[in-house]
Amino acid sequence: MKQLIEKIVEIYKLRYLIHTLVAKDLKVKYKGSVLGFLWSLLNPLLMLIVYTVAFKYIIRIRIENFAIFFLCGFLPWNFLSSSLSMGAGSISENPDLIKKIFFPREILPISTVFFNLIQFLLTFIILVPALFIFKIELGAALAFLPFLIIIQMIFVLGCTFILSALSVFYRDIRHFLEIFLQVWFWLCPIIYPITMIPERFRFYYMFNPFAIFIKCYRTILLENGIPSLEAFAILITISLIFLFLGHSIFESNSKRFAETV
Amino acid sequence: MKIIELIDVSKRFRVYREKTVNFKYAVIDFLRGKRSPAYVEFWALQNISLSIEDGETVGLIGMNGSGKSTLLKVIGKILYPDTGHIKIRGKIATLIELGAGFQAELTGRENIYINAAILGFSKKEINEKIDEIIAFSELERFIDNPIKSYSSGMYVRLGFAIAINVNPDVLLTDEILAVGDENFQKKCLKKIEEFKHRGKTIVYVSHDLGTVERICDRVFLLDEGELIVEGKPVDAISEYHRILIEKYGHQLVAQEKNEVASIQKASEFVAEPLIARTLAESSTKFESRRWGTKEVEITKVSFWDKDNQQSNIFKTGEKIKVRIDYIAHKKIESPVFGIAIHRDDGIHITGPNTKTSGYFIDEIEGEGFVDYIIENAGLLKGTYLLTAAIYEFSCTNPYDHWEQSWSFHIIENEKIGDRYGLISIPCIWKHHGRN
Repeated sequence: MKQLIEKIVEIYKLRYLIHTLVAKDLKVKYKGSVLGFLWSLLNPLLMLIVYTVAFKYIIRIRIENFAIFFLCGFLPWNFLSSSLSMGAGSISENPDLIKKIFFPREILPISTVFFNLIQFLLTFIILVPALFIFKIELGAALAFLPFLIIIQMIFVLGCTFILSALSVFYRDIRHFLEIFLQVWFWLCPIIYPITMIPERFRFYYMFNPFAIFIKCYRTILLENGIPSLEAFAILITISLIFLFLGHSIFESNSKRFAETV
Repeated sequence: MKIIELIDVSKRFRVYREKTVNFKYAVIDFLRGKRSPAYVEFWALQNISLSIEDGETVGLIGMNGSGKSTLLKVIGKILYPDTGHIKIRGKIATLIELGAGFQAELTGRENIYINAAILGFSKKEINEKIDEIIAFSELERFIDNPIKSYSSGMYVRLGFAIAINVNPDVLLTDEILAVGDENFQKKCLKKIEEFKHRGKTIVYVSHDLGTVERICDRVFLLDEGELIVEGKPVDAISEYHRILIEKYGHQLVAQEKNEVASIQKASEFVAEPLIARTLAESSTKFESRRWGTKEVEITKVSFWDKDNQQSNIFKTGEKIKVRIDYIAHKKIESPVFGIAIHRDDGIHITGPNTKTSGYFIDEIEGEGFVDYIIENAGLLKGTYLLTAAIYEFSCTNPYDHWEQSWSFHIIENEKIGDRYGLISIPCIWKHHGRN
């Protein structure tokens, strides 16, 4: 525990480095492109159009307020999936830094997650007007949204620690991750409601922690409701377990990063 | 006061049979229920104990592969030792490669912030230093341009300017001064000396023994991962030379066309670019460096030392014998044998031939050899390239000419103090006071 607190203090002291690295990633990403950060908005917007056309007009599944329904699942999912695929390379793609300079290695996955968090928050620029357009009633439940985002971030960070550390030693992980993310996408209630899952499978279906996250996002944004205490308790527990597990895997492997990357 | 202390530090490396450990192997091994030996182990550092005092400038020397860079990385916390303890007080900056982590798309100024932040400095510290950093790098005009437009020299200047100006307590550097133009190198050395005068601690890894001797208070000599000498620069450096000769002197037989192996051996301790060059020449570029009618051919060139042993490492002032073996396919009258010596940076040092030396050979036919003997090779430390040629008497038409096709090395001779410049000229000094 003492070590953990020391680690947190050490990383907190380096917040300027994290800030700089996140700013660098944002600058590098948008430098030289005309639309700049609008691209980050265009991606979910285009996906929204594609899925709306597919589900409303071709497959014809009736879901109320499909746009909001979709964004509530897709935006958090995007935060998760892009953090994981970027984060998996955060160590192995920076051999220059790892081999040549000392700094706490955690900084790299952490700044990847913060980078994606910022992208996620920026996409609220789409979500907020959409909420108004579809005249969704918002209320006090909104106060729980930041809390939910923080829990999701802890979860994402835990997963990113595991992937970034292991993909240094097992290059195949990144290929596997690509497929895994596609499967996981369909295992999450992003483009369909949980109610479409047959009753007898639903218990097992909810073992997917991200399904619970999406459910909570929808409760807050779509139904103006407060997620159940049970759901929060489960999410906090799972996220903290992933964070501790992820960090200990990362920590024990980080000593061999410099000689392996 | 000890600022760095290593107690019984060892570092093991694993050299994997393939570059990446595949997931595949892990799965196969798991299925087979046993682990296959995926790597060979070797100890890059063995039981190193040392301490460095606050304000000391310390050199780490040794052959390539002796573990000096590993030791520097272990001190800099980039690598973790497998055994032992390291205690460090104060802020460390490691300059193993200048500009590591630079972002080509971003401007020089933006990169200063990123690089300095990675080296562990706060925004406030960087803001205070930024003007000084820019001034030192001499890049005022370009600082707001993306660094992808920089030349490699500009890149290095910026990297050094950041690292040296962020003001660490301990500076760890590895061979960084080998880059940049001479002017900037001088400036860097000056800055390092200034750093030293301010009482900072420096750990300096280098093959440039002259600089090591000049700036270091103490030198550690490593050999095969062990710390074998710790002491005054002069003592450690002469011990280093002794080991060099003892270990590799006899193995470094003259470089023959096919003897790539011996060249590889040489690469273990001679600066890599030179060897890369000689290696490339001996295999591929050889032909383009050779011309002539080939009525007489040079079949072999070998170097011999004072004990008549084949070698291509000599000390300043020692005897060198170059033997040129030839085969004359027909009877040739009055051939002229010549050689030329160039330093590896292109300076032409000498170019005698049998005719200018007043040594005439009547005729040759079949095989034979010619020896070129220098009793006191006054060449100073460095790598030299040898040209060998056979011409007809007018010295205009070559039978066989091999341009700068063999190399040999001169190392310092502890008996001869000379070390600055190109050659050692025997001399005496006399002092007369006015009274």
